[in-house]
Amino acid sequence: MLTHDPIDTETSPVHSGKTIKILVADDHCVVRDGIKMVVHGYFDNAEVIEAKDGDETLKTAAENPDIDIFMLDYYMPNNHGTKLLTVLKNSYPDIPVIFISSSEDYELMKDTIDNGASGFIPKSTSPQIIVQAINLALAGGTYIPKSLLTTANQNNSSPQPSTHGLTCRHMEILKLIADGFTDKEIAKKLDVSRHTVKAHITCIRNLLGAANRMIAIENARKLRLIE
Amino acid sequence: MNNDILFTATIHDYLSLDRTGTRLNTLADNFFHASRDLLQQIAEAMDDNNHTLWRSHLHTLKGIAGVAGARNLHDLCDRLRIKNNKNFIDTPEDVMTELHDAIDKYQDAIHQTLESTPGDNMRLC
Repeated sequence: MLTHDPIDTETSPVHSGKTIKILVADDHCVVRDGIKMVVHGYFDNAEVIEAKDGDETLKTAAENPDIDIFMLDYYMPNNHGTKLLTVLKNSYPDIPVIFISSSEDYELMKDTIDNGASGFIPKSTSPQIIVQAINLALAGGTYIPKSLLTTANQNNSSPQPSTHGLTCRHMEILKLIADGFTDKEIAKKLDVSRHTVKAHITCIRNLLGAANRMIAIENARKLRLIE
Repeated sequence: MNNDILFTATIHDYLSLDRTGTRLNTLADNFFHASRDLLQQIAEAMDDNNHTLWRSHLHTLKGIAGVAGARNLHDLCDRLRIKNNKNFIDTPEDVMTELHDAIDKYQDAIHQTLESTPGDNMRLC
């Protein structure tokens, strides 16, 4: 599942009953304290461990094999950004990584998602949305803020009026979904990452006003976009 | 709540965590403490004409402003960065006056918000 704010998942944790262990990494204590406060405030069973830079993140991760999710500042001393993400994904492929950043740059966000991040949260994001983004990432989804999705839609190349803003790539993916292909199969077919496929599907859903991909297919058929 | 000064959704969510506003009070205290240090570092970077360091400190200030719900300061950091993107257009005095003013306004807004909550621990630095 992939979505943007307002998110259609509950604020309650998906790991209800189980302790959620979150590694929060940021070089500034106000940010770490803020995230910690939010996590402890909204999750009944949460343990937050902290790191101040990229190297400490890797060290702490190695010492804590039961981490459920990483929340990383994009810019940190001693290893950061997609470089740090790649190292983490190679060592812990199943643990979601969410970036928190002062930057709201579309290209930066796209780059992190393309490289396997499960979310990109501007630091001005409200606590409830942060919690929902964590839940979404823990459930296997990817969180992208609405403001950045809007940019994504604007940046999509040459939307055709007859396709309701859907790009050629969107149409390609829409048809593959309708033919019953999974995200993984679509990613393989198009030679892109699953996260990229998910990002495209979110754009498709938004453009077709659909709450989920099945409704997107229904709407696309009603609009005669696909057979 | 003042929409121009505060990220109201953020402040609302912090207040929803505890009715006394203790968490928000603590976060705001930490923010004021940290922002004082950052303002000093920003002023020094401007005095040294160290643009890279100035941008870095401003980026950090924007980040903690976002977490603390200080919309005015968060947006001001963006405006200052864009205006002084390559070189310093503003004088250090102008920049510092604007930053101090934004923090003062945020402090007033937070103070008012906390005063209107039912808790008894509304002490701000």
